[in-house]
Amino acid sequence: MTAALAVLLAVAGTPLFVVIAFLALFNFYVEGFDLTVVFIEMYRIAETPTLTAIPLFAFAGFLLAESGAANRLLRFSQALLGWLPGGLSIMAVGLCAMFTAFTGASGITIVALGGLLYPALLRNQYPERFSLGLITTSGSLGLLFPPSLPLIVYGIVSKTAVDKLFIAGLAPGMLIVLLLSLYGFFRGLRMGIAPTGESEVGIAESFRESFWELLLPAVVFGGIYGGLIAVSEAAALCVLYVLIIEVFVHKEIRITKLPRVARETMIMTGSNLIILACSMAYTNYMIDAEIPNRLLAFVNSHVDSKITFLLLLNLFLLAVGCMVDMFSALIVVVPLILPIAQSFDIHPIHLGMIFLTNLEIGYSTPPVGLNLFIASLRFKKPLLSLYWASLPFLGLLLAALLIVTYFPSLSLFLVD
Amino acid sequence: MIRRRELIRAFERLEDGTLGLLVGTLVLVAIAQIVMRNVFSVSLLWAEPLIRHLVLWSGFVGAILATREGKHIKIEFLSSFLGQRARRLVSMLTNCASVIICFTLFVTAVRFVADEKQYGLKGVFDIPLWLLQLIFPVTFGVLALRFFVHLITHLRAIPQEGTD
Repeated sequence: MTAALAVLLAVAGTPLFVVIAFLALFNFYVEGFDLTVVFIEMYRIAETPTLTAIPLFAFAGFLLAESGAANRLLRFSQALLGWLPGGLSIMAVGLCAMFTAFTGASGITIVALGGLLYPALLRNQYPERFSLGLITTSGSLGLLFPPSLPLIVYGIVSKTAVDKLFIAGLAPGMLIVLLLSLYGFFRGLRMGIAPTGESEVGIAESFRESFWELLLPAVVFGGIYGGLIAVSEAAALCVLYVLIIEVFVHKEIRITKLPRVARETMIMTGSNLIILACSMAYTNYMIDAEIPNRLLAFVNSHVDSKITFLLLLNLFLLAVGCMVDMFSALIVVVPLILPIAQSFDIHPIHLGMIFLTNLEIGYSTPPVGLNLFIASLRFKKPLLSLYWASLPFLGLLLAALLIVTYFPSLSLFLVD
Repeated sequence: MIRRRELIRAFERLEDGTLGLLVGTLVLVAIAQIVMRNVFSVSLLWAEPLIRHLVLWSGFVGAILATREGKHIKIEFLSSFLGQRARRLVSMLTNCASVIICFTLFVTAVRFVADEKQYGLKGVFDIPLWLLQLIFPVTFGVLALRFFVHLITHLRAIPQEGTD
Protein backbone atom coordinates (compact mmCIF):
# COMPACT_ATOMS: atom_id res chain seq x y z
CA MET A 1 0.00 0.00 0.00
CA THR A 2 2.57 2.52 1.18
CA ALA A 3 4.96 1.42 -1.52
CA ALA A 4 2.25 1.78 -4.17
CA LEU A 5 1.44 5.28 -2.97
CA ALA A 6 5.15 6.16 -2.99
CA VAL A 7 5.54 4.92 -6.57
CA LEU A 8 2.46 6.89 -7.59
CA LEU A 9 3.84 10.06 -6.01
CA ALA A 10 7.22 9.50 -7.67
CA VAL A 11 5.74 8.94 -11.12
CA ALA A 12 3.54 12.02 -10.73
CA GLY A 13 6.74 14.04 -10.40
CA THR A 14 7.06 14.63 -6.66
CA PRO A 15 10.66 15.49 -5.77
CA LEU A 16 12.26 12.16 -4.87
CA PHE A 17 13.57 13.28 -1.50
CA VAL A 18 9.94 13.91 -0.51
CA VAL A 19 8.95 10.41 -1.61
CA ILE A 20 11.80 8.78 0.33
CA ALA A 21 11.11 10.94 3.40
CA PHE A 22 7.47 9.87 3.18
CA LEU A 23 8.50 6.20 3.21
CA ALA A 24 10.78 6.75 6.20
CA LEU A 25 8.31 8.82 8.22
CA PHE A 26 5.36 6.57 7.52
CA ASN A 27 7.15 3.31 8.31
CA PHE A 28 8.76 4.62 11.48
CA TYR A 29 5.36 5.91 12.57
CA VAL A 30 3.65 2.57 11.97
CA GLU A 31 6.38 0.74 13.90
CA GLY A 32 5.82 3.10 16.80
CA PHE A 33 9.17 4.89 16.72
CA ASP A 34 9.71 8.46 17.80
CA LEU A 35 9.99 10.25 14.46
CA THR A 36 13.01 12.27 15.60
CA VAL A 37 15.02 9.15 14.73
CA VAL A 38 14.85 10.47 11.15
CA PHE A 39 17.06 13.39 12.13
CA ILE A 40 19.48 11.31 14.16
CA GLU A 41 20.13 9.52 10.87
CA MET A 42 20.22 12.69 8.78
CA TYR A 43 22.76 14.23 11.13
CA ARG A 44 25.12 11.42 10.15
CA ILE A 45 25.69 13.52 7.01
CA ALA A 46 27.81 15.77 9.24
CA GLU A 47 29.69 12.76 10.59
CA THR A 48 30.78 11.25 7.28
CA PRO A 49 34.30 12.43 6.41
CA THR A 50 34.43 11.48 2.71
CA LEU A 51 31.22 13.34 2.01
CA THR A 52 33.04 16.67 2.03
CA ALA A 53 34.76 15.60 -1.18
CA ILE A 54 31.48 15.81 -3.11
CA PRO A 55 30.80 19.58 -3.14
CA LEU A 56 34.51 20.33 -3.54
CA PHE A 57 35.06 18.10 -6.57
CA ALA A 58 31.77 19.35 -8.00
CA PHE A 59 32.87 22.96 -7.54
CA ALA A 60 36.10 22.21 -9.39
CA GLY A 61 34.08 20.56 -12.16
CA PHE A 62 31.66 23.47 -12.50
CA LEU A 63 34.61 25.84 -12.62
CA LEU A 64 36.16 23.80 -15.44
CA ALA A 65 32.86 23.81 -17.30
CA GLU A 66 32.60 27.59 -16.91
CA SER A 67 36.13 28.15 -18.22
CA GLY A 68 37.33 27.53 -21.74
CA ALA A 69 38.96 24.26 -20.68
CA ALA A 70 36.66 22.13 -22.87
CA ASN A 71 37.46 24.25 -25.90
CA ARG A 72 41.18 24.00 -25.32
CA LEU A 73 41.07 20.27 -24.64
CA LEU A 74 38.99 19.76 -27.78
CA ARG A 75 41.60 21.63 -29.82
CA PHE A 76 44.35 19.48 -28.33
CA SER A 77 42.57 16.20 -29.01
CA GLN A 78 41.76 17.41 -32.51
CA ALA A 79 45.43 18.01 -33.11
CA LEU A 80 46.16 14.52 -31.79
CA LEU A 81 43.30 12.55 -33.38
CA GLY A 82 42.22 14.69 -36.31
CA TRP A 83 43.71 12.23 -38.82
CA LEU A 84 41.59 9.32 -37.55
CA PRO A 85 38.24 8.34 -39.15
CA GLY A 86 35.59 8.95 -36.53
CA GLY A 87 38.21 10.87 -34.58
CA LEU A 88 35.81 13.62 -33.59
CA SER A 89 33.33 11.18 -32.06
CA ILE A 90 36.15 9.58 -30.08
CA MET A 91 37.20 13.00 -28.77
CA ALA A 92 33.59 13.71 -27.84
CA VAL A 93 33.39 10.48 -25.85
CA GLY A 94 36.65 11.15 -24.03
CA LEU A 95 35.87 14.77 -23.19
CA CYS A 96 32.37 13.98 -21.94
CA ALA A 97 33.71 11.17 -19.77
CA MET A 98 36.21 13.52 -18.16
CA PHE A 99 33.67 16.26 -17.47
CA THR A 100 31.02 13.89 -16.15
CA ALA A 101 33.54 12.37 -13.77
CA PHE A 102 33.92 15.80 -12.18
CA THR A 103 30.40 17.16 -12.38
CA GLY A 104 28.36 13.99 -11.86
CA ALA A 105 25.57 13.22 -14.29
CA SER A 106 24.06 16.59 -13.51
CA GLY A 107 23.33 17.30 -17.12
CA ILE A 108 26.01 19.98 -17.23
CA THR A 109 28.00 17.79 -19.61
CA ILE A 110 25.13 17.73 -22.08
CA VAL A 111 24.37 21.41 -21.63
CA ALA A 112 27.91 22.80 -21.66
CA LEU A 113 29.82 20.29 -23.81
CA GLY A 114 26.86 19.33 -25.97
CA GLY A 115 26.62 22.92 -27.13
CA LEU A 116 30.21 22.65 -28.29
CA LEU A 117 30.28 19.09 -29.63
CA TYR A 118 26.88 18.66 -31.28
CA PRO A 119 27.38 21.44 -33.87
CA ALA A 120 30.95 20.23 -34.42
CA LEU A 121 29.71 16.70 -35.13
CA LEU A 122 27.06 17.93 -37.56
CA ARG A 123 29.58 20.18 -39.29
CA ASN A 124 31.75 17.14 -39.91
CA GLN A 125 28.91 15.27 -41.64
CA TYR A 126 28.02 12.95 -38.78
CA PRO A 127 24.33 12.04 -39.08
CA GLU A 128 22.01 13.87 -36.71
CA ARG A 129 20.73 10.70 -35.08
CA PHE A 130 24.22 9.40 -34.38
CA SER A 131 25.35 12.75 -32.98
CA LEU A 132 22.32 13.14 -30.74
CA GLY A 133 22.65 9.60 -29.41
CA LEU A 134 26.32 10.10 -28.74
CA ILE A 135 25.88 13.35 -26.82
CA THR A 136 22.88 12.04 -24.91
CA THR A 137 24.56 8.87 -23.65
CA SER A 138 27.78 10.77 -23.04
CA GLY A 139 25.95 12.76 -20.37
CA SER A 140 26.47 9.95 -17.90
CA LEU A 141 29.59 8.48 -19.43
CA GLY A 142 32.48 8.66 -17.02
CA LEU A 143 30.55 7.96 -13.82
CA LEU A 144 32.98 5.10 -13.24
CA PHE A 145 35.96 7.46 -13.31
CA PRO A 146 37.21 9.26 -10.23
CA PRO A 147 36.13 11.53 -8.65
CA SER A 148 32.50 10.98 -9.68
CA LEU A 149 29.77 11.74 -7.18
CA PRO A 150 27.95 8.38 -7.39
CA LEU A 151 31.25 6.57 -6.93
CA ILE A 152 31.81 8.44 -3.64
CA VAL A 153 28.19 7.94 -2.59
CA TYR A 154 28.43 4.19 -3.26
CA GLY A 155 31.54 4.11 -1.09
CA ILE A 156 29.71 5.85 1.74
CA VAL A 157 26.54 3.77 1.52
CA SER A 158 28.34 0.42 1.18
CA LYS A 159 31.17 1.37 3.58
CA THR A 160 33.81 0.61 0.95
CA ALA A 161 37.07 2.58 0.77
CA VAL A 162 36.53 5.39 -1.74
CA ASP A 163 40.17 5.51 -2.84
CA LYS A 164 39.95 1.82 -3.80
CA LEU A 165 36.73 2.44 -5.72
CA PHE A 166 38.48 5.24 -7.60
CA ILE A 167 41.09 2.80 -8.89
CA ALA A 168 38.62 -0.02 -9.47
CA GLY A 169 36.49 2.16 -11.74
CA LEU A 170 39.32 2.88 -14.17
CA ALA A 171 39.26 -0.40 -16.12
CA PRO A 172 35.47 -0.79 -16.51
CA GLY A 173 35.27 2.92 -17.33
CA MET A 174 37.94 2.57 -20.01
CA LEU A 175 36.09 -0.44 -21.41
CA ILE A 176 32.96 1.66 -21.95
CA VAL A 177 34.93 4.53 -23.48
CA LEU A 178 36.72 2.05 -25.73
CA LEU A 179 33.51 0.39 -26.93
CA LEU A 180 31.88 3.72 -27.77
CA SER A 181 35.07 4.95 -29.44
CA LEU A 182 35.27 1.83 -31.60
CA TYR A 183 31.65 2.34 -32.61
CA GLY A 184 32.43 5.94 -33.55
CA PHE A 185 35.50 4.79 -35.47
CA PHE A 186 33.64 2.17 -37.54
CA ARG A 187 30.69 4.44 -38.20
CA GLY A 188 33.17 7.07 -39.32
CA LEU A 189 34.88 4.58 -41.65
CA ARG A 190 31.68 3.19 -43.13
CA MET A 191 30.03 6.52 -43.73
CA GLY A 192 33.23 7.78 -45.27
CA ILE A 193 33.38 10.76 -42.99
CA ALA A 194 36.54 12.59 -43.81
CA PRO A 195 38.90 13.00 -40.89
CA THR A 196 38.81 16.55 -39.60
CA GLY A 197 42.39 16.73 -40.80
CA GLU A 198 44.91 19.29 -39.75
CA SER A 199 43.49 21.49 -37.05
CA GLU A 200 44.25 25.18 -37.09
CA VAL A 201 46.64 24.80 -34.19
CA GLY A 202 49.48 22.31 -34.04
CA ILE A 203 50.04 19.63 -31.42
CA ALA A 204 52.70 21.59 -29.57
CA GLU A 205 50.69 24.79 -29.47
CA SER A 206 47.43 23.14 -28.33
CA PHE A 207 49.35 21.04 -25.82
CA ARG A 208 50.74 24.21 -24.29
CA GLU A 209 47.23 25.69 -24.16
CA SER A 210 45.76 22.86 -22.15
CA PHE A 211 48.94 21.85 -20.30
CA TRP A 212 47.62 22.82 -16.85
CA GLU A 213 44.33 20.96 -17.27
CA LEU A 214 46.16 17.86 -18.52
CA LEU A 215 48.22 17.95 -15.35
CA LEU A 216 45.09 17.99 -13.15
CA PRO A 217 44.64 14.21 -12.70
CA ALA A 218 48.28 13.84 -11.74
CA VAL A 219 48.08 16.66 -9.19
CA VAL A 220 44.91 15.38 -7.55
CA PHE A 221 45.35 11.64 -7.68
CA GLY A 222 49.07 11.68 -7.22
CA GLY A 223 48.34 13.07 -3.77
CA ILE A 224 45.91 10.31 -2.84
CA TYR A 225 47.92 7.38 -4.11
CA GLY A 226 51.23 8.81 -3.03
CA GLY A 227 49.67 8.38 0.41
CA LEU A 228 49.99 12.11 1.13
CA ILE A 229 46.38 13.12 1.51
CA ALA A 230 42.90 11.72 2.04
CA VAL A 231 40.22 11.84 -0.65
CA SER A 232 38.49 14.87 0.88
CA GLU A 233 41.79 16.74 1.07
CA ALA A 234 42.49 15.88 -2.55
CA ALA A 235 39.16 17.50 -3.37
CA ALA A 236 40.22 20.70 -1.63
CA LEU A 237 43.54 20.60 -3.46
CA CYS A 238 41.66 20.13 -6.70
CA VAL A 239 39.56 23.26 -6.08
CA LEU A 240 42.67 25.26 -5.23
CA TYR A 241 44.42 24.07 -8.38
CA VAL A 242 41.49 24.73 -10.69
CA LEU A 243 40.90 28.16 -9.12
CA ILE A 244 44.51 29.09 -9.72
CA ILE A 245 44.67 27.91 -13.33
CA GLU A 246 41.28 29.20 -14.49
CA VAL A 247 41.13 32.46 -12.53
CA PHE A 248 44.77 33.51 -12.45
CA VAL A 249 46.62 31.66 -15.22
CA HIS A 250 44.05 31.53 -18.03
CA LYS A 251 42.01 34.42 -16.57
CA GLU A 252 38.85 32.89 -18.09
CA ILE A 253 36.73 33.17 -14.94
CA ARG A 254 36.42 36.52 -13.24
CA ILE A 255 36.40 36.47 -9.45
CA THR A 256 33.00 38.16 -9.45
CA LYS A 257 31.61 35.10 -11.25
CA LEU A 258 32.65 32.71 -8.48
CA PRO A 259 29.51 33.15 -6.30
CA ARG A 260 27.29 32.18 -9.23
CA VAL A 261 29.38 29.06 -9.96
CA ALA A 262 29.31 28.17 -6.25
CA ARG A 263 25.54 28.57 -6.29
CA GLU A 264 25.10 26.25 -9.29
CA THR A 265 27.39 23.72 -7.60
CA MET A 266 25.45 23.71 -4.37
CA ILE A 267 22.07 23.43 -6.08
CA MET A 268 23.36 20.28 -7.77
CA THR A 269 25.06 18.95 -4.63
CA GLY A 270 22.18 19.95 -2.36
CA SER A 271 19.54 18.21 -4.44
CA ASN A 272 21.64 15.03 -4.22
CA LEU A 273 22.55 15.47 -0.56
CA ILE A 274 18.96 15.84 0.61
CA ILE A 275 18.08 12.58 -1.14
CA LEU A 276 21.04 10.93 0.59
CA ALA A 277 19.92 12.39 3.94
CA CYS A 278 16.35 11.10 3.60
CA SER A 279 17.59 7.74 2.34
CA MET A 280 19.84 7.33 5.37
CA ALA A 281 16.72 7.50 7.52
CA TYR A 282 14.83 5.09 5.31
CA THR A 283 17.75 2.64 5.20
CA ASN A 284 17.83 2.69 8.97
CA TYR A 285 14.17 1.70 9.04
CA MET A 286 14.78 -1.15 6.59
CA ILE A 287 17.67 -2.51 8.62
CA ASP A 288 15.67 -2.18 11.82
CA ALA A 289 12.77 -4.08 10.26
CA GLU A 290 15.31 -6.70 9.13
CA ILE A 291 14.23 -6.31 5.53
CA PRO A 292 17.72 -7.05 4.13
CA ASN A 293 17.82 -10.30 6.13
CA ARG A 294 14.39 -11.37 4.99
CA LEU A 295 15.26 -10.54 1.41
CA LEU A 296 18.50 -12.49 1.80
CA ALA A 297 16.66 -15.57 3.08
CA PHE A 298 14.15 -15.27 0.26
CA VAL A 299 16.78 -14.97 -2.45
CA ASN A 300 18.92 -17.75 -0.98
CA SER A 301 16.00 -20.14 -1.00
CA HIS A 302 15.17 -19.41 -4.64
CA VAL A 303 18.47 -18.69 -6.31
CA ASP A 304 21.38 -21.03 -5.93
CA SER A 305 24.04 -19.95 -8.38
CA LYS A 306 26.09 -16.80 -8.51
CA ILE A 307 25.55 -16.50 -12.26
CA THR A 308 21.78 -16.59 -11.96
CA PHE A 309 21.88 -14.10 -9.14
CA LEU A 310 23.98 -11.67 -11.14
CA LEU A 311 21.67 -12.02 -14.11
CA LEU A 312 18.60 -11.41 -11.96
CA LEU A 313 20.32 -8.47 -10.27
CA ASN A 314 21.03 -6.83 -13.60
CA LEU A 315 17.52 -7.42 -14.89
CA PHE A 316 16.20 -5.93 -11.68
CA LEU A 317 18.49 -2.89 -11.86
CA LEU A 318 17.71 -2.32 -15.54
CA ALA A 319 14.00 -2.43 -14.76
CA VAL A 320 14.53 -0.02 -11.88
CA GLY A 321 16.57 2.24 -14.16
CA CYS A 322 13.69 2.36 -16.62
CA MET A 323 11.18 3.33 -13.96
CA VAL A 324 12.86 5.61 -11.47
CA ASP A 325 15.88 7.81 -11.10
CA MET A 326 18.80 5.41 -10.78
CA PHE A 327 20.84 7.56 -8.40
CA SER A 328 18.13 7.57 -5.74
CA ALA A 329 17.57 3.88 -6.36
CA LEU A 330 21.27 3.23 -5.84
CA ILE A 331 21.21 4.75 -2.36
CA VAL A 332 18.07 2.91 -1.31
CA VAL A 333 18.85 -0.45 -2.90
CA VAL A 334 22.55 -0.91 -2.08
CA PRO A 335 22.02 -1.75 1.63
CA LEU A 336 19.44 -4.35 0.57
CA ILE A 337 21.58 -6.03 -2.05
CA LEU A 338 24.95 -5.89 -0.29
CA PRO A 339 24.36 -8.78 2.17
CA ILE A 340 22.92 -10.95 -0.60
CA ALA A 341 25.88 -10.23 -2.84
CA GLN A 342 28.24 -11.15 -0.04
CA SER A 343 26.46 -14.45 0.49
CA PHE A 344 27.18 -15.20 -3.17
CA ASP A 345 30.79 -14.22 -2.65
CA ILE A 346 30.62 -11.10 -4.78
CA HIS A 347 33.17 -8.49 -3.81
CA PRO A 348 31.61 -5.15 -2.70
CA ILE A 349 33.85 -3.31 -5.17
CA HIS A 350 32.74 -5.56 -8.03
CA LEU A 351 29.14 -5.02 -6.95
CA GLY A 352 29.80 -1.28 -7.02
CA MET A 353 30.99 -1.46 -10.61
CA ILE A 354 27.86 -3.38 -11.58
CA PHE A 355 25.69 -0.76 -9.88
CA LEU A 356 27.52 2.15 -11.47
CA THR A 357 27.43 0.64 -14.95
CA ASN A 358 23.70 0.20 -14.47
CA LEU A 359 23.56 3.80 -13.32
CA GLU A 360 25.25 4.97 -16.53
CA ILE A 361 22.71 3.02 -18.53
CA GLY A 362 19.77 4.14 -16.38
CA TYR A 363 20.40 7.80 -17.19
CA SER A 364 19.67 7.12 -20.86
CA THR A 365 16.98 4.43 -20.76
CA PRO A 366 13.53 5.36 -21.94
CA PRO A 367 11.14 6.44 -20.69
CA VAL A 368 12.48 8.29 -17.63
CA GLY A 369 16.25 8.54 -18.21
CA LEU A 370 17.40 12.00 -17.16
CA ASN A 371 19.87 12.42 -20.05
CA LEU A 372 17.03 12.08 -22.53
CA PHE A 373 15.08 14.91 -20.95
CA ILE A 374 18.09 17.19 -20.67
CA ALA A 375 19.11 16.54 -24.28
CA SER A 376 15.53 17.03 -25.44
CA LEU A 377 15.46 20.44 -23.77
CA ARG A 378 18.96 21.42 -24.82
CA PHE A 379 18.68 20.54 -28.50
CA LYS A 380 14.94 21.13 -28.84
CA LYS A 381 14.26 17.64 -30.17
CA PRO A 382 11.20 15.52 -29.36
CA LEU A 383 11.77 12.93 -26.66
CA LEU A 384 10.83 10.10 -28.99
CA SER A 385 13.62 10.89 -31.46
CA LEU A 386 16.09 10.79 -28.59
CA TYR A 387 14.81 7.36 -27.55
CA TRP A 388 15.69 6.15 -31.05
CA ALA A 389 18.98 7.98 -31.23
CA SER A 390 20.33 6.51 -28.02
CA LEU A 391 19.33 2.90 -28.76
CA PRO A 392 22.57 1.73 -30.45
CA PHE A 393 24.59 3.32 -27.67
CA LEU A 394 22.46 1.61 -25.06
CA GLY A 395 23.19 -1.68 -26.81
CA LEU A 396 26.92 -1.06 -26.42
CA LEU A 397 26.51 -0.10 -22.78
CA LEU A 398 24.58 -3.32 -22.19
CA ALA A 399 27.45 -5.28 -23.72
CA ALA A 400 29.82 -3.48 -21.37
CA LEU A 401 27.52 -4.33 -18.46
CA LEU A 402 27.69 -8.03 -19.34
CA ILE A 403 31.48 -7.91 -19.40
CA VAL A 404 31.70 -5.96 -16.13
CA THR A 405 29.28 -8.37 -14.48
CA TYR A 406 30.80 -11.66 -15.54
CA PHE A 407 34.48 -10.71 -15.43
CA PRO A 408 34.98 -9.56 -11.84
CA SER A 409 38.71 -9.38 -12.33
CA LEU A 410 38.19 -6.40 -14.64
CA SER A 411 36.98 -4.45 -11.61
CA LEU A 412 39.35 -6.00 -9.13
CA PHE A 413 42.74 -6.53 -10.74
CA LEU A 414 43.86 -2.93 -10.22
CA VAL A 415 42.82 -2.95 -6.57
CA ASP A 416 44.66 -6.06 -5.46
CA MET B 1 1.46 43.90 -3.31
CA ILE B 2 4.74 45.63 -4.05
CA ARG B 3 5.81 45.31 -0.45
CA ARG B 4 5.26 41.56 -0.55
CA ARG B 5 7.34 41.25 -3.69
CA GLU B 6 10.11 43.23 -2.02
CA LEU B 7 9.93 40.95 0.96
CA ILE B 8 10.28 37.85 -1.22
CA ARG B 9 13.17 39.45 -3.09
CA ALA B 10 14.93 40.28 0.19
CA PHE B 11 14.37 36.73 1.39
CA GLU B 12 15.86 35.30 -1.81
CA ARG B 13 18.86 37.57 -1.47
CA LEU B 14 19.29 36.27 2.07
CA GLU B 15 19.26 32.68 0.75
CA ASP B 16 21.81 33.50 -1.95
CA GLY B 17 24.02 35.42 0.47
CA THR B 18 23.96 32.67 3.08
CA LEU B 19 24.89 30.08 0.50
CA GLY B 20 27.75 32.20 -0.85
CA LEU B 21 29.10 32.75 2.64
CA LEU B 22 28.87 29.04 3.53
CA VAL B 23 30.54 27.81 0.34
CA GLY B 24 33.21 30.51 0.54
CA THR B 25 34.08 29.50 4.10
CA LEU B 26 33.96 25.83 3.16
CA VAL B 27 36.45 26.26 0.32
CA LEU B 28 38.75 28.52 2.33
CA VAL B 29 38.85 26.27 5.42
CA ALA B 30 39.34 23.14 3.30
CA ILE B 31 42.25 24.76 1.47
CA ALA B 32 43.73 26.28 4.64
CA GLN B 33 43.67 22.86 6.27
CA ILE B 34 45.78 21.11 3.64
CA VAL B 35 48.16 24.03 3.29
CA MET B 36 48.70 24.23 7.06
CA ARG B 37 49.24 20.52 7.37
CA ASN B 38 51.46 19.90 4.40
CA VAL B 39 53.44 23.14 4.35
CA PHE B 40 53.58 24.13 8.01
CA SER B 41 53.00 20.68 9.57
CA VAL B 42 50.24 22.09 11.75
CA SER B 43 47.01 20.09 12.04
CA LEU B 44 43.90 22.17 12.48
CA LEU B 45 41.85 19.81 14.61
CA TRP B 46 38.73 21.95 14.39
CA ALA B 47 38.87 22.15 10.59
CA GLU B 48 37.56 18.66 9.79
CA PRO B 49 34.33 18.82 11.86
CA LEU B 50 33.79 22.43 10.78
CA ILE B 51 34.07 21.45 7.11
CA ARG B 52 31.63 18.60 7.59
CA HIS B 53 29.04 20.93 9.11
CA LEU B 54 29.61 23.49 6.38
CA VAL B 55 28.87 20.76 3.82
CA LEU B 56 25.67 19.86 5.65
CA TRP B 57 24.58 23.49 5.88
CA SER B 58 25.51 24.56 2.37
CA GLY B 59 24.02 21.35 0.96
CA PHE B 60 20.70 21.99 2.66
CA VAL B 61 20.64 25.65 1.63
CA GLY B 62 21.41 24.37 -1.87
CA ALA B 63 18.36 22.13 -1.55
CA ILE B 64 16.29 25.20 -0.64
CA LEU B 65 17.50 26.95 -3.79
CA ALA B 66 16.81 23.79 -5.81
CA THR B 67 13.20 24.04 -4.65
CA ARG B 68 13.03 27.70 -5.67
CA GLU B 69 14.28 26.90 -9.14
CA GLY B 70 12.42 23.61 -9.53
CA LYS B 71 15.69 21.71 -9.85
CA HIS B 72 14.99 18.82 -7.53
CA ILE B 73 15.60 15.35 -8.87
CA LYS B 74 12.25 13.96 -9.92
CA ILE B 75 10.68 11.81 -12.58
CA GLU B 76 9.29 14.03 -15.30
CA PHE B 77 7.89 11.22 -17.36
CA LEU B 78 4.18 11.72 -16.81
CA SER B 79 4.04 15.48 -17.27
CA SER B 80 5.49 15.30 -20.77
CA PHE B 81 2.39 13.43 -21.92
CA LEU B 82 -0.22 15.58 -20.23
CA GLY B 83 -2.04 18.66 -21.41
CA GLN B 84 -1.68 21.96 -19.60
CA ARG B 85 -4.66 21.48 -17.33
CA ALA B 86 -3.92 17.92 -16.31
CA ARG B 87 -0.32 18.88 -15.75
CA ARG B 88 -1.37 21.68 -13.42
CA LEU B 89 -3.62 19.29 -11.52
CA VAL B 90 -0.86 16.71 -11.10
CA SER B 91 1.54 19.44 -10.08
CA MET B 92 -0.90 20.60 -7.40
CA LEU B 93 -1.12 17.08 -6.10
CA THR B 94 2.65 16.66 -5.86
CA ASN B 95 3.06 20.08 -4.27
CA CYS B 96 0.36 19.19 -1.76
CA ALA B 97 2.20 15.98 -0.84
CA SER B 98 5.46 17.91 -0.57
CA VAL B 99 3.88 20.48 1.77
CA ILE B 100 2.55 17.74 4.05
CA ILE B 101 5.82 15.80 4.18
CA CYS B 102 8.07 18.84 4.59
CA PHE B 103 5.80 20.26 7.28
CA THR B 104 5.89 16.94 9.17
CA LEU B 105 9.67 16.96 8.85
CA PHE B 106 9.73 20.57 10.08
CA VAL B 107 7.67 19.79 13.19
CA THR B 108 9.78 16.69 13.90
CA ALA B 109 12.99 18.66 13.39
CA VAL B 110 11.84 21.27 15.90
CA ARG B 111 11.24 18.52 18.46
CA PHE B 112 14.60 16.94 17.63
CA VAL B 113 16.47 20.21 18.14
CA ALA B 114 14.55 20.91 21.37
CA ASP B 115 15.52 17.46 22.70
CA GLU B 116 19.11 18.06 21.73
CA LYS B 117 19.09 21.40 23.54
CA GLN B 118 18.06 19.62 26.71
CA TYR B 119 20.93 17.14 26.45
CA GLY B 120 23.25 20.14 26.12
CA LEU B 121 26.00 18.40 24.10
CA LYS B 122 28.61 20.52 22.39
CA GLY B 123 30.26 20.23 18.98
CA VAL B 124 33.04 21.95 17.08
CA PHE B 125 34.34 25.20 18.73
CA ASP B 126 32.14 24.34 21.72
CA ILE B 127 29.11 25.39 19.73
CA PRO B 128 26.08 23.64 21.24
CA LEU B 129 25.02 20.74 18.99
CA TRP B 130 21.44 21.97 18.75
CA LEU B 131 22.65 25.15 17.06
CA LEU B 132 24.56 23.09 14.50
CA GLN B 133 21.39 21.08 13.91
CA LEU B 134 19.21 24.13 13.51
CA ILE B 135 19.63 23.75 9.76
CA PHE B 136 17.07 20.89 9.78
CA PRO B 137 14.03 22.85 11.02
CA VAL B 138 15.12 25.89 8.99
CA THR B 139 15.44 23.89 5.77
CA PHE B 140 12.22 21.93 6.08
CA GLY B 141 10.33 25.00 7.31
CA VAL B 142 11.40 27.00 4.26
CA LEU B 143 10.76 24.03 1.96
CA ALA B 144 7.23 23.56 3.32
CA LEU B 145 6.63 27.28 2.76
CA ARG B 146 8.05 27.13 -0.78
CA PHE B 147 5.91 24.20 -1.81
CA PHE B 148 2.91 25.94 -0.25
CA VAL B 149 3.58 29.05 -2.33
CA HIS B 150 3.87 26.87 -5.47
CA LEU B 151 0.54 25.30 -4.58
CA ILE B 152 -1.16 28.68 -4.10
CA THR B 153 0.27 29.93 -7.38
CA HIS B 154 -1.30 26.96 -9.15
CA LEU B 155 -4.63 27.48 -7.40
CA ARG B 156 -4.66 31.15 -8.36
CA ALA B 157 -3.98 30.35 -12.00
CA ILE B 158 -6.97 28.04 -12.38
CA PRO B 159 -9.83 30.57 -12.66
CA GLN B 160 -7.83 32.60 -15.18
CA GLU B 161 -7.37 29.56 -17.35
CA GLY B 162 -11.05 28.72 -17.10
CA THR B 163 -12.02 31.93 -18.87
CA ASP B 164 -10.11 31.30 -22.09
